[in-house]
Amino acid sequence: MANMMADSPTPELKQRLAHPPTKVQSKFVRVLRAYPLVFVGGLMVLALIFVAVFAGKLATFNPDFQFANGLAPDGAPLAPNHTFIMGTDDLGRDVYSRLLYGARVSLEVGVFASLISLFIGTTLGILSGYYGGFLDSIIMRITDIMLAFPFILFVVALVAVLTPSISNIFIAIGVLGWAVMARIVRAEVMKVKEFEYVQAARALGSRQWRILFRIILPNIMAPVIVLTTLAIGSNMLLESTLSYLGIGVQPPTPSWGSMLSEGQQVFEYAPWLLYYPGMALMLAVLGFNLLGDGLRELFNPRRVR
Amino acid sequence: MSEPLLQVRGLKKYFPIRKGVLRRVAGQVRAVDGVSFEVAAGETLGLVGESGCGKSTAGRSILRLIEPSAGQILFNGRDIRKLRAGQMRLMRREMQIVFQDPYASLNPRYTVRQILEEPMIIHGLFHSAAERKKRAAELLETVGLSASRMDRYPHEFSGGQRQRIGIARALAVDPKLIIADEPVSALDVSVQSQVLNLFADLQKQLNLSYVFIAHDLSVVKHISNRIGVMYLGQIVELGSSDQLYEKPLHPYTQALLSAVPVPDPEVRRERIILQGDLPSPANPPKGCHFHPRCKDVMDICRTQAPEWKEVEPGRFAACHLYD
Repeated sequence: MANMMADSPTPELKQRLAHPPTKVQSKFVRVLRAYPLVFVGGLMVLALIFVAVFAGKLATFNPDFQFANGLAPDGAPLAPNHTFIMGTDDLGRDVYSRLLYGARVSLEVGVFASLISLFIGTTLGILSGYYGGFLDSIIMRITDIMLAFPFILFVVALVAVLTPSISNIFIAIGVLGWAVMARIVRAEVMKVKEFEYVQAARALGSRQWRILFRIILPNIMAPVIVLTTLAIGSNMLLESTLSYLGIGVQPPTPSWGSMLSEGQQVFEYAPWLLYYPGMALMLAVLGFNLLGDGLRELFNPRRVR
Repeated sequence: MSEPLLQVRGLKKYFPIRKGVLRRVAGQVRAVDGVSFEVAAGETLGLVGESGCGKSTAGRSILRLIEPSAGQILFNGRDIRKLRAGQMRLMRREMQIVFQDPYASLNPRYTVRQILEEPMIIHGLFHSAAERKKRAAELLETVGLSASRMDRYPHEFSGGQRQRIGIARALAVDPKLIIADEPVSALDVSVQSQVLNLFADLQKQLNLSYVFIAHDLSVVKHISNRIGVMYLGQIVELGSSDQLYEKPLHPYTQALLSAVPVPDPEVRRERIILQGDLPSPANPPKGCHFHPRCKDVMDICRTQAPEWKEVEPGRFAACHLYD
């Protein structure tokens, strides 16, 4: 035995010593370990999606029904109790049920508006950054105008023209909200396209679409993903702002913004009308932000070992 | 001698300087200003010069990574500047480039295997994934890396290893010519010699031709058959590396060579110190571009540009000293 130990290692063993087999652990698991808050963010987003999808099953009442027993004798909303676990609003509707259905609106508007912005902003940003020149000047001047305009005013005007509905709200927010995305994508493309690996791809004879979509696009995805998840959060807030202003989702459809708007008129004696939708909004936005930070790490081949 | 593999004639690249709101062209930077040379099959031509003399621009213009402003680039007798986009893509199989910075030249999102298979996919070289993988493994072994590591990402390799991967990528399409754009400048000295030896070995094995761009004279001497010395966008002297090092003709070459350290403390050599700065290529001096810094300057140098001519057999220079 001792003799064998003294022998010089076989080439095979040498090879193994030089490159010890690393424990293959999926990147997903490694990211979760390194960034546990991602997990929290992901769970919050999943919970939101779950609530939005199964609002019909989870809700205890019809969210739009005005209960005769939902108001106190003096007409004031009821505080949380056994029947109405989050109380009722000033029309005697169940706050809990409205909150669940409101998640649908928030999520729908947040996600779809962000996807529209993502698509427009990325397309224009890539064209602008890669081709430069005259095209770049035109796209960037339009972007400047979009950014200089008071955004809310813009959206309000567009929604007013389109007539308020859920789909028109996310179209308006999405179509107007791409400017920041375009700016960031353009800057990233301008940075990445100067790298020699892009030159190498050209030298190897790659076609333009291959360079744009297989080389440049994957290398700019990290900030794009982060920005998109952050945008989902802020677009959810924007929806509630619009609903709060009365040009968002139209009554009686519940949305967190409209609930806040209605609740603030009576919040002195019915504060739960602000607590619950406010809390829901905050947690949802926080969830998307945490998730965004985590996704950035997941898309970075270098950071996580 | 048969026809050279690569002939460059009067290559020029001018970059416009744009000014003002309307972006009018206010002047031109003459990065490459009339460069001509030939490279035979299996030969290495070194291009040396200070930073900013246009050697990298010349290298990239030959591959049309930068579109040249004027001149002819004949590869196997065909002018590649006249090729349409599709034909040019095919031509790119023949000529490849190895870059200076091994950290920027590999796509960080691809594994080494993907990096090596990319050129095969672009040119449709193999039809099955298994064949491509086998070829990628061969390429890695060729450049002295273990094929077992091909599913790793570039950041998991050292600078020298990355440069080897860059070389393997260039070899993936079986090129005849490789333009090496300062391929060892970013590496440690110990690693430099390994990579240089790799270049030399590959040349023997695969009968490659190199255009080897560098600013380090000892590096270029080691690997080149012939050397061209560039100054301010032009080649001022061209000759076989032995002759050029033994007896430099052009005063600029003399000054450059006098700056190469000699590994012998006893040897005292006269250093020729160049006076003044490198002039701007946007506004080069009249006459000979080198005259404001030349130790042998004559009156004619200030007014008339010297002709490019064969001073001795196989030795070219552009200098009035040899009129």
